[in-house]
Amino acid sequence: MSELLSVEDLKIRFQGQDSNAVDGVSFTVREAEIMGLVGESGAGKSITGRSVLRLLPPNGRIVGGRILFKGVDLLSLSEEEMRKIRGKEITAIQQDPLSSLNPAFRIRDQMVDILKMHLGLKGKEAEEYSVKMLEEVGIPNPEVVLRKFPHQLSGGMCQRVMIAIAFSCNPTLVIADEPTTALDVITQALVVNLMKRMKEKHRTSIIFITHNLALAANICDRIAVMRLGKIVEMKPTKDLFKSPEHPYTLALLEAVPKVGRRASKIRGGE
Amino acid sequence: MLSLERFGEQLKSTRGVLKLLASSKKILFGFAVLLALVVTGVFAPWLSPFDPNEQTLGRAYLPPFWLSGGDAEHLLGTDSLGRDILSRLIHGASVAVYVSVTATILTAAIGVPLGIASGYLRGRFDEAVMRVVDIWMSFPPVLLAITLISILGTGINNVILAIVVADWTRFTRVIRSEVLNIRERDFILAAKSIGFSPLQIMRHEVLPNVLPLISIIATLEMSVAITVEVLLSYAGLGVKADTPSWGSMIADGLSYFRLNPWGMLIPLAATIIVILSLNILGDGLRERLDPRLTLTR
Amino acid sequence: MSSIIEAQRLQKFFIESTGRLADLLLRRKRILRAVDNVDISVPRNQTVGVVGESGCGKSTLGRTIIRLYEPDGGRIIFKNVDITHLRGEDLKKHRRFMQIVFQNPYSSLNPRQKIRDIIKRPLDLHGFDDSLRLVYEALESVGLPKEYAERYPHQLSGGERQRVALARAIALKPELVVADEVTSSVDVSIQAQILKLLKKLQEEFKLSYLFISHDLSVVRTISQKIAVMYLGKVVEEAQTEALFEDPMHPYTAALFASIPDVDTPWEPHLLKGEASSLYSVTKGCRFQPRCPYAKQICAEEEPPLKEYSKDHKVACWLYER
Repeated sequence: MSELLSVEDLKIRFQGQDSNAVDGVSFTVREAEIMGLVGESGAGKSITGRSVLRLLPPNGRIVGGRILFKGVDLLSLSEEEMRKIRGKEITAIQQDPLSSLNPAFRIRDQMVDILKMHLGLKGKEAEEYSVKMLEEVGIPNPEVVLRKFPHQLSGGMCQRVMIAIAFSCNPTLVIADEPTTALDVITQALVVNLMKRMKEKHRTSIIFITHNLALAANICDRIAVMRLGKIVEMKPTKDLFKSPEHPYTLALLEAVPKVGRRASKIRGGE
Repeated sequence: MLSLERFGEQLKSTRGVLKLLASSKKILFGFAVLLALVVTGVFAPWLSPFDPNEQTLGRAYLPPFWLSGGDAEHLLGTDSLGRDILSRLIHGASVAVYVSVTATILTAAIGVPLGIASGYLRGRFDEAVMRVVDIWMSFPPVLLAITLISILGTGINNVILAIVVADWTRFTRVIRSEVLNIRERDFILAAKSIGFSPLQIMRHEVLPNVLPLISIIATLEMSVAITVEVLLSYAGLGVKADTPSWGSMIADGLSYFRLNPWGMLIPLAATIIVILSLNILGDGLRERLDPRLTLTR
Repeated sequence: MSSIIEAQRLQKFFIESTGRLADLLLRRKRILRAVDNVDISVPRNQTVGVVGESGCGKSTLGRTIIRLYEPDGGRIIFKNVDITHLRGEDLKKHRRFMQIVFQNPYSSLNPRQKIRDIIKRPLDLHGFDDSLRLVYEALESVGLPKEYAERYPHQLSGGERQRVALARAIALKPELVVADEVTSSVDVSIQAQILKLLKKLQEEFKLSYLFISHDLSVVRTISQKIAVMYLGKVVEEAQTEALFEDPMHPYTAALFASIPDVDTPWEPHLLKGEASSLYSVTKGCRFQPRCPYAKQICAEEEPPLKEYSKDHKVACWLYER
């Protein structure tokens, strides 16, 4: 398994602030690996994710470091070159599916546009492929769903559409920023399970950004714990939970409310 | 929300106000001109070198002192009846201040409680009020003003009344719109759960949160008031003949434009500067506050 | 009665337009049965947790039961008094004893009032003497220094604001406090503090809590009894440990299995179908479209909430013999 992404000493600063929002962050992501960036709000995890796509908010600037993707420093590319990578090799899944999908267009139009642009598919091919993708993410009646507008679908549906879109061009890397926070717990399980399957099938790597340590524990292969713009501890998941070292990690683990032992089958069942 | 809270807090202390002024060129400039206007208007009798109605018929149509034929005694020249333009300008400022401040206070006194009640209580009361507002706003405001003047007669207080009649809907609509947002916030629900009556909630929870917006609308209202007064006085429907107002000065000045263009240009310039400055002040306050606040009409 | 508050067949509906032109012309509206025939009671000096996902009606229940929203049906008995239809001064008398704390610390405090006034004004309204001293006492109870009284909400952090909201609620010396997702908007480290504070206050002031949350881990640590809600109905209710050891309703079991946990293995039930919403309520049992155990009768008739073991109620045809 080779190194797909290597973030080296990344530093990001916002206008008007006198300290870095991201201060010397380094980590790698291997092929077909789910890397977790975990931390509380303000830790800098979302910004780090966005910087890999070079989509920082207007008042943020990368002031140091490199982001090597397949050996190429993304920060040295022109905007045009970056655009070829975005949406095709590196895609994103955001927290709020309703705001990532354009409310004025049907699902079909949004998916087909992307497929045409990045894969060069023609109209009918693109539509067939879209149906296939929607089926793969477990959406019933994909032809019907394609004709709908985002607001006509539930949050869980929209998020699945987003995943379909994110994986449709067979990207090498997906940046998932709090993809399940807006979903109910049962749908969350479905979506996470889906992402795992996509990773296995397409050999895609995922950077999974979340504040939910328990969720990260169950989906990520490796986890980097972030605090105030720095990574305080980074380990394979099992090791992190078996023997956490950094006091902040320990504090986080302490504070995470554990549901504890519970039955998950009813007595009335078969 | 953060900037709204800080803004409100700043308005409460002198240091806060100074900080607010320093934060934006627009606010500083607008406020400076407004201050100059108010000071001039309030201290007019002391500042004005001459009685504005004192006629010196032998010395009519004098240009400003920096032009040939001018006289240092009448810095800005004289009009057709030999009255000192500077003095008339200064007293005109009093008129402008009196009219704009009073009209603004009155329209706010009507529009703010109505807007709050309408936006908070909703239901049939709100529907009724909005119907009245909609109908009222379909009449051209200047027409309303002129109609009222023709019924009541001219004079500075009738001008104020005309402005209020024509423009009370401004505060009502904008405040109501803001209250529609505020009433959904949890602290309003909290007040309900504690047992405060709707009246108490409107007075203590809603009103304080609308004050910053009121100050912005006030600047707008003031510039509208001055505009209307100038227009009415220009048309001879405004202040009485002996009261110097920029509007009547412009009308006069137009009639003897050939003999002394400055008679019209000077009050016109003053009017434009004041209205522009008030708008700039309002803009600056709005920017400083929160970009999402949009003003209708 | 040993319950501080009891709701019987409580109903709360919201009426909305359907968004379809035909319905607009025919004046047909959509009814959201946010709280649909709910029975729930809170024993004195105990915490009853209400769990469910967003859209299940738990927040609406919490607000309706203290008459913040007007109920559309059913009865509310508070301290042995039927408060369902009380108004004006009569209702105000009782309001003091039933307070609520909201989820969002950024919008539950009036940004234009000092902390001191936020807590003092309710005291003055209800005729407490020496209200300023009570304000300081309340601040102390929630672990905030006296000096905070002179500050404005925007000068405090989210966690601190939540404490102020608590101080406001307990200053009136209530008997019931509804906690509506009070830990959901704060960081995990602050959550633990708030929970600790809630427990301490409950001890100190003999409070009863109706604790609403979608977070099962939080609810487990603080509640003695838990009600599980789904689309406006209570589907299961039991003593906390009994619920976790022996869930009877398929939805409860699916919920338990779906929560990722650090200590225990994760085996979520991957339910078919979509997470339903109040807009698409089906005939019969509301969970039926997704239920792996659904039978014929589930699609036809709604199961009643019945007690099958001591203190353990469930609304499910599986148990009806």
